[in-house]
Amino acid sequence: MKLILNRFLILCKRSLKQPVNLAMLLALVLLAVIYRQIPSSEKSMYIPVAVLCEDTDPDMQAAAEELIQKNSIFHFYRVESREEMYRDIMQKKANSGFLIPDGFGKNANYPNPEIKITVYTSPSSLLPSLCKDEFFNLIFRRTAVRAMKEKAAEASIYSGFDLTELMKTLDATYDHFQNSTEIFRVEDASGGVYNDLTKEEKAELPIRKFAGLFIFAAGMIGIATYLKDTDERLYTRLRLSERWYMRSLHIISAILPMTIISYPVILITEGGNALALLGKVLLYAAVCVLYSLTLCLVIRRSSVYQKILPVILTMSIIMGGVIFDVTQFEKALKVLSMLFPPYYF
Amino acid sequence: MNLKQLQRTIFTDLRRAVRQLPATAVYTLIFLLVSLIVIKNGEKLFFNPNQTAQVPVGLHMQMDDADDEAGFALVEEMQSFRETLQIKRFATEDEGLKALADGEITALILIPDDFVNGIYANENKPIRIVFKENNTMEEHIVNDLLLNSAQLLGTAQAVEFTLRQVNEELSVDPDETDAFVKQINANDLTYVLTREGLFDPENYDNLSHLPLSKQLAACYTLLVLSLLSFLLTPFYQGRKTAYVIRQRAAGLNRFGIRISELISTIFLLYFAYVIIFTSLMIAGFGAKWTSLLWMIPISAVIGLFIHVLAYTVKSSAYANLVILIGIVLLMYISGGLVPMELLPRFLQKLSSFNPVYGLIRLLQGIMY
Repeated sequence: MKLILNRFLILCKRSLKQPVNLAMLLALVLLAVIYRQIPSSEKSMYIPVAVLCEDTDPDMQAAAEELIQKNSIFHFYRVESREEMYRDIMQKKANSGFLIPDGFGKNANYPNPEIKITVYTSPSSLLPSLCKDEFFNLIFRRTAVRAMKEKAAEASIYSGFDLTELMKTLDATYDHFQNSTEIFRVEDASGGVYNDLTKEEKAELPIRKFAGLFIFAAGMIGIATYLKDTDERLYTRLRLSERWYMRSLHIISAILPMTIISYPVILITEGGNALALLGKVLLYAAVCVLYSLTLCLVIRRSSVYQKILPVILTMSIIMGGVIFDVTQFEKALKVLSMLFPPYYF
Repeated sequence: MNLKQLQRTIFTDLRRAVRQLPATAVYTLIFLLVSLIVIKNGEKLFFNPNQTAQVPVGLHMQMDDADDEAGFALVEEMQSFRETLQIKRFATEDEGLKALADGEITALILIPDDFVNGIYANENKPIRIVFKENNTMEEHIVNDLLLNSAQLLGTAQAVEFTLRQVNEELSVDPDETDAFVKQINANDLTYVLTREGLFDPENYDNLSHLPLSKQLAACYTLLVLSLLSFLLTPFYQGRKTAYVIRQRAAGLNRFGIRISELISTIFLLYFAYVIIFTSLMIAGFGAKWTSLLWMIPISAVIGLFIHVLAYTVKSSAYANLVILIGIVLLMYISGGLVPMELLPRFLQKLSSFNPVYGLIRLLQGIMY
């Protein structure tokens, strides 16, 4: 027992002397410190929508301005260029984008005009039809009076009247009714409290995923040191069972320090039930040990392992959920991800 | 430098490189397989489609009023209503209020009796909306939707009221006014019902210089080629000191040896690109044919990077780890793994100092 403990301690020391292991441990602690320092902020739940008005038509300029001032679940804001709109949609700063091209206003009061408003959406755009309807509403307020005046100018019933004067009267009367309480309205039940629609949010750092990846990587490094020792014929005189015990000792001594550090780091950053988390971390560490031992069964030479290790680690980084959200993977990719332990953590 | 010896060494190294072709093909195909899956699912992975669920709302209106039923059916068919609400009808107001209290529905819409006829008669009986808490996202959506529909109706009414008042002031024959108002209302209704025709739906990709899938294809090509360094660093480090001494004795200096090695690296990287090019063609992300030509200098740049790395980090195991951490990190902060536009702004600003970013842009230009 004393011999096992001695060997284990020596291997632990050796593992901690590995610069890569040290770097991973430090990175984990650093991530936790950074996470603690990030203050949580109250974020508005408005759905931001970018608006770019290239049209010089005063009605369209006014519609865009009114849209930006509008109090609704959408927060319409002005952008200066198509590039800015693209950047905002890509970064999810904007949920969608409206581009009013030059010349749209000229024929806006006819159905299906040649020049149309371009609505840019991404797969994560929310409520695109409602957003479009809110925009249409403001356009309709301006195009309805235009269409009315156009028809009135052609109508025989006004043939005896001064058309310029008639147009002025129509404009003034329409404005009066638009602002009066005589037209149909729904009582605005919550228009004044849109600003209260907020949620508490903190920047997300995939610390758990990093910890999972590092525990797994530590196991892989454990195999590398064992195979290096084997190549140097250190264990040739050992029996098969003793070699297994040395393999296990190498892997456990590499994984253990990373597991010991990962547990408090995850507990500090995520909170929750300490005992349940401990169980999960230990179970995951056990899975990593078993995975590494199985790999050791297949690969016996250090030179072969050096070629395979980068593939396994690269796949684990891409498939383990550190860069991409594993829940969004399609079936084939999910099955492939299951071959790498970080997927489960 | 002995040029004949250089030529001989280049041929020897190329013969060595040919022996590496199967391993290069296997490495390329493994990384390419994962890359292609990511490229194909790029939109889903980066944009995380997060469609809101329909908001359950209750509706109470007199069932026996045909005009109201027709009006309601028209509104229910609107895309924005279908996208947003899940409407449940209630026979009585009390039933609806109970469902609201039980949390079964988010809001209750109460349509007054004879609602549509009331609009024609200019009575404007208001619709009532009853909310439970009045400050959730769902309630705001319902509120916005109904406010919006009411404003559309209000605009149409404002036009009608304008014409009637102006015509009355001008003493136009009431029958002629009715006929004209009817024509205008029909026009307005057509305009509202065909409002989709005012909009041209486009994908965000159409704003970009390159669609997301092609941006990713170029980035992942560079990633796959860079990851081949796992294979190529041992290739360099496998040189025995005796070999170098022999070459020197034959008149070839260190520079000549490096040139020869670099040429065989370019050959291997180019071979990998041909595999990538063919696979991208098959997968439907085909690159320009001219990229096959431009890839030669790009391979030289990547080869030079691998070369420097292999001779800086002596141990093969450490070189692999440095490559793994270095390449993944450099590629990430230069928009190689995740498109640059999706990265935080401070990282985007840093990208101008990152040579890999320039290489990615160059590759995108060459390939598409």
